Amino acid sequence: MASSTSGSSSSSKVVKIRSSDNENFEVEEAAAARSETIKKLLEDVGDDADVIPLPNVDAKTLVKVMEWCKKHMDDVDELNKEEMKTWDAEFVDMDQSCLYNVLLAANFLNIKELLDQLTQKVADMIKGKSPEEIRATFNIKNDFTPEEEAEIRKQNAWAFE
Amino acid sequence: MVGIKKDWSKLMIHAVHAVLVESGFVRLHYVSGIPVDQFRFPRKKAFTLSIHYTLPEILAINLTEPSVVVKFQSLGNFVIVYGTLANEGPAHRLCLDRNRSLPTRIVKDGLALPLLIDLCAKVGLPPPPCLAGLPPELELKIMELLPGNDIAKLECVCKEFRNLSYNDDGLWKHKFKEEYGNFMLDEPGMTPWKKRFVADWEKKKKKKQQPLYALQEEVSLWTAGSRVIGHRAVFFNSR
Repeated sequence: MASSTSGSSSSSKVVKIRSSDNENFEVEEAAAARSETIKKLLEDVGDDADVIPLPNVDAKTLVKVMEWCKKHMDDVDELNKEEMKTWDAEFVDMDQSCLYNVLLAANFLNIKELLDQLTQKVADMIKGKSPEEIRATFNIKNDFTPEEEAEIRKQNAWAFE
Repeated sequence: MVGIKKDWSKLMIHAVHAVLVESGFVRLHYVSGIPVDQFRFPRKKAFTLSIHYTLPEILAINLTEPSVVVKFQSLGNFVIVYGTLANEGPAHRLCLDRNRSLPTRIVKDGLALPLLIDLCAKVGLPPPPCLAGLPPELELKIMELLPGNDIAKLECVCKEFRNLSYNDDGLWKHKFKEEYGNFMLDEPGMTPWKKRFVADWEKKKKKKQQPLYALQEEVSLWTAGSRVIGHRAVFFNSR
């Protein structure tokens, strides 16, 4: 039943997962289990699991997520912390379409640390921008009437000074 | 002047085309409106080239309109790219520089994604993943990571974010605590947290803006009442 997970990665078990567009991936269990959702599914089905279907994540996104999980499979010692920070910063530096897809996947797969890194990245992209710049950067339509916009600007005038 | 025939501008156009295809667009033949994969440059030397694109989801319901048009214009060492919904809407514009490698990210974020959002909105398809289309709990999580004044600016962007920031207990209480610590938190006053946050923000700002002579005055008032404490006392006092 409960297999030892403390062994080295070379001897670790492999699980199969399937993306929404029906691509199968083989991943080390220790990496896949970074996802609480997958971990729970693995516990539920036990060793009988053939392939774990992930109907909400497409292959392109799953590759990114699993890349992160593999990197974060083992605990990081103090020495590697800086290196890991750099790796993480480069990882979240992706185009917006990709960023939101990975964000939604991290949410669905329940990978807290990845979700935290991605939401922080989006927040950093918003910081210091005016409403007009935010609309332009994130392709958001201004859906206020002129009166509504004047009102909300007036209410928040303190933030612009 | 260099025309479209020059190799580097062709390369740029091919690269932009590849990004659009990767983002889910299919190319339409501009006369017949039939989807085509192949890509041929006009034989005559030309300075502009327009390519029409649509989405497989739109073709599936037997529509060839609406579509988007991407126009390339070659100007010396630059290729200017304009992307619009066919016959309407503001253009999304990019400027590609011959002396730099193709900025794939800029093509994705500045052309492919905005065109995808425009086209989906036009046809009534669900929007592609974008900031304002994330589930509210994720939007709120992102807002919590912002400083108070950035949240206020985000409120002015669209209704979605304005409505989310009405979440006084969830968002502004948390911000107030973060900025001013736990003190006064249990004060039974009914003032909304955002109001308190803003009031303290204004107070802080006034202190910062106080002209020097006022500071000096404060020092002399202070020292008159007690012993010599000096400048630092003012800062203690001002909290």
